[in-house]
Amino acid sequence: MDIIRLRGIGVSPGIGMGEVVLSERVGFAWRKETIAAHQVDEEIRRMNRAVSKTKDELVRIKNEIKEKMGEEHAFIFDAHLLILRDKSLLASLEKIIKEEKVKAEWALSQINNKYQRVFNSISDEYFKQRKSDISDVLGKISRQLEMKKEIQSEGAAEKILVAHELLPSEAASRFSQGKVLAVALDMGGQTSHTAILARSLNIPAVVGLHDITRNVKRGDYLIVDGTNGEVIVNPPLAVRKEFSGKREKYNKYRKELQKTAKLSSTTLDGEKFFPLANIELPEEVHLALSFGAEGIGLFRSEFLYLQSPTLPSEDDHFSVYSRIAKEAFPAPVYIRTIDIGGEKTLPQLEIEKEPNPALGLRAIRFSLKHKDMFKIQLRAILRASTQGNVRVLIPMVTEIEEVRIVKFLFQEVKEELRSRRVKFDEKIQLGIMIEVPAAAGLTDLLVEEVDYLSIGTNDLIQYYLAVDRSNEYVSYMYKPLHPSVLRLIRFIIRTAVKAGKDVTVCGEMAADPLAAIFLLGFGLRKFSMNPIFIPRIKKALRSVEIRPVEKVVQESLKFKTAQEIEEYVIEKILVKYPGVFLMGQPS
Amino acid sequence: MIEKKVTIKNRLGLHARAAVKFVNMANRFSSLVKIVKDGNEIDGKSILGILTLAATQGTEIKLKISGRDEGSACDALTALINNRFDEKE
Repeated sequence: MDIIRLRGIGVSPGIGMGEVVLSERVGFAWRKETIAAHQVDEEIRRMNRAVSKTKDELVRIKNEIKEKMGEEHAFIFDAHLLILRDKSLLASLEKIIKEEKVKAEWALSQINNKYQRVFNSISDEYFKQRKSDISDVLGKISRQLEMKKEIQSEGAAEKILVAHELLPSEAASRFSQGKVLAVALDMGGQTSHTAILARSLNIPAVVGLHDITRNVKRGDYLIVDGTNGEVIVNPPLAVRKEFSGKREKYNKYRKELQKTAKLSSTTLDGEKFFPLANIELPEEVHLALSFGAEGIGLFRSEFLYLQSPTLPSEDDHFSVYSRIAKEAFPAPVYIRTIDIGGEKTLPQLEIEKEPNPALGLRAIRFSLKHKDMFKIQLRAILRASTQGNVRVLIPMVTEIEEVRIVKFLFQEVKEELRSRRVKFDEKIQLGIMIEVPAAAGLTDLLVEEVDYLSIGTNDLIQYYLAVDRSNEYVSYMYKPLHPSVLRLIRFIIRTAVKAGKDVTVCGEMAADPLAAIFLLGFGLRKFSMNPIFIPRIKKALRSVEIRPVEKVVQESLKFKTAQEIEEYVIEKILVKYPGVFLMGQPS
Repeated sequence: MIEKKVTIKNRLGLHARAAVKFVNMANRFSSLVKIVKDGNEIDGKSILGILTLAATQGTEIKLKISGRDEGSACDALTALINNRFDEKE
């Protein structure tokens, strides 16, 4: 057995070790197996039994998904159940078995081919894709027919699930049986529904492995490291031992995190701070709150535009925003208007390729060019604000003029709603992202125009240092603790605090314990980050006191390089609070 | 038998969610329900049939309903289509 190490994207942290079970994609019979005339009736009964078992399975999955991910996601199972009850479908299956005297498996594969042809001839892309729903249902029946030999022999043992791709329905049914130790997939990304489901059920998962299904076979031994995004096939004993140790450490760490999530967010000397969550999908709210988030500090609304072939309607926006607002209530939800354009293009609109997307038509610049689209989004946010916990956040502001136009449009939309007697929160707050250095330099003037500020440190640092951190030749210069960056961020935070306005940081700096100490020392109290980092930031900030931190951070700025600053602060903080950085993510 | 022409008004057309509603409504009646579009006739109680029609917004379809409760079936199904399947647009 060869050892293979594969790199992917770790989407659900933790370590899972065990034997492989491959989730075969809908396997249809490829060989025509005939039966004797007297076996026809029994074969039809066999098929009907498989159909009714499939129904039971679908009903079970549907209820499960409804509970875990909400009604909207369960709807597709109603469609699948209706396909199962479709008389013409069942009649044609019976007809094939009867007339051709073949096994049910062959009848299923013939019917599947027929419908694939029918749907392929449709020109409308949405309707054409319904062919996958039919394959999915027919494949489930096919799998039920094979149940006896195949899946039951897998027994009760817990295994590592390996697949090319997992549909949310498949993932839910597999996970709910409680036999999945970890997941490794060829396809997928951070925000797929499968990834979110795995995270919420605490099942380690690595996706985007490209060809893992070709590199493993049933019975291989696998280590899935969801924290580091690595999969090891058939590791030698020494490596297995090493990872058992890591797994134990991680599980202990996880327990600790859950405890931390419930503790109050106050510093050692009783100063309150607020950990908030950055999310991309409405399903993440629940997970974020369970990690101790006290609000959604950044909802990236882009997924609404990326999930459907047409532009989202006002109601599409509204149903997502109001769902998040309800689930998070009474905690605040900051909804960022679309940050699209540049390299993140929209399939629905013809967007020109730009020579320099980072400096091009993005975010609010894009929204102000497409004002109708922008107003649809603002209207939906306003309508979702009735409970009073929604805020609007405008990305990538560069100059005062933009803020004035935004405020004018916002006013216009409010007037429209008032005249239609549609309710919204009259006190809804409007804020801007500070991520363009020019805006940072104008903080004192900008802060007068808006209700709050949110500092997007990732982009701000890249623009300020003129360093593209995805460029391997210069990424070493991307330094959040660059003295110039620290001075700028201190200026923004202090200016906002002095003006009595709310300020949040929603870049990666907020999720890094050392950087968070600096932010705290500058006066920041709201830290928004990927929810899985909330416990470690809470732990760090809970172990320090405000005054000493302010003093250390202030003094560190007299050093001339990022390295000197970092060394000075780590040393001073550790002497006073030895436990502060102890809970880094175990690697 | 009743025949009635109706235009699909909702933005997404007779997509999966709308088709589920249509079939569930049609199944409440004992009458036979057929849908005709561009000369193709399908069973209105078959979700696969409806999806293969690929009826998008603005498509005109003909309902052909026959049976004891054809009148009320026709009213209910027409109302469902005209109400955009309870979708907002």
